[in-house]
Amino acid sequence: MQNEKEETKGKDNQTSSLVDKIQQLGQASVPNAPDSNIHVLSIIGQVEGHIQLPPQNKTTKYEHLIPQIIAVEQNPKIEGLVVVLNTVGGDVEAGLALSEMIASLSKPTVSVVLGGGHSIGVPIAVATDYSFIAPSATMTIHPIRLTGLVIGVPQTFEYIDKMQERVIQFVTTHSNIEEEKFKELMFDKGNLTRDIGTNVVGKDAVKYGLINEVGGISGAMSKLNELIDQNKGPKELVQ
Amino acid sequence: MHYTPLSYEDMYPVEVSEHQKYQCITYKNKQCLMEKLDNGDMRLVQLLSTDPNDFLLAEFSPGSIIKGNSIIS
Repeated sequence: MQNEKEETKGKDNQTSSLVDKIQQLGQASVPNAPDSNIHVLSIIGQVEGHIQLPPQNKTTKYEHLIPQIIAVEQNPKIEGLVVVLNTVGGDVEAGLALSEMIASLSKPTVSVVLGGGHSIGVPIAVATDYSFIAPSATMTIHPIRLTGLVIGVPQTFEYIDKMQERVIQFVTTHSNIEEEKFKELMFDKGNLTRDIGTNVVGKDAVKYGLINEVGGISGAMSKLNELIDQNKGPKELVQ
Repeated sequence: MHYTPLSYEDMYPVEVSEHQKYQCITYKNKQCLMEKLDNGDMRLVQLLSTDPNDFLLAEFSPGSIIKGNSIIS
C-alpha cells in the first residue's frame, strides 16, 4: 500500500515538474549542454594492471581507459584531450600501455598533475603534447619494484633492468629531461625513507625539464585550445 | 608481531564475492561501474566517461541508486 502511494506521489511530482518547466520555459525539455569538444581522461588512484585489486582500492583500470582513448581518437567532434592525474602509480606495463596510447593520439593532448603523479604516473604525465603540474603537486621518481613471488636468479634482475630501461626511454623521449638527470633522480639516496629515488615538487619538475609548466586547469585549457587552433590551422589554408 | 614484505592482500586475500558485487554496465549509453545491492538495485560507484558534461548529470552522480528493473544488460 505504502509503495503504491509513493509511486503515485512520484508520478505527481514528475508531472508537476513538467508543468513547471512548460510554464517557465515554454517547452517540455530543457536543451542539453552543447557537446564538449574537449574530453577529460582522469587517472586516479592506482593504475590497475593484470591483477585485480580489492574493491576498497581506488583504481584506474586500463581496460576501461583504452576504449575511451580510441573513442576520443575516432570521434570527429572531440578535438582535444585533457589528462588529469592524481595517481600513486601502479602496474608498469599497464601504465606504459596508457602512455603509449596517449602519445600516439593524433589530437592535441595536455596533462595536468594535481596532488601526485608518482612512479608510473610520470610517463603518463609526459606522454601528452604539453604538461602542467600544480605548484603543490609532487612526482616520485624511483626504480621499478616487483611484488609477489620473485625468483632470485640473475635473469630476474635483467628483466627488471630492461623494463626500467623502457620507462626511462619513454620519459626521456617525451619530455625535455636528460637521461642522465632522470637516472640521477631515480637512484638518488637520502630523499625517500628507506628507499632510493626522489620526490620532485611542482617547480622542480619544470626545472628538470620533466614537465613543461607550473599551472592548473585554466592554463591547461588555454594551452589545449591553442593547440587545437594550431591543429586546425593548415587545413583551413588549403581550402 | 609479524613482519613481511608481502602486501596485505597477499596475506589476506579478498573473497571472490566481494569482486562479484561490482559490475561494469552500460546504462543509458554510458559505461558505469555499479555495485549490486541486495534488493536487486544498483548503486553507481563510478561513471566511466571522458565527456565532462556527463558528470554534470544528477542521475549519474556517484552513489545514486538505479532501479534494477531499469537496467537491461
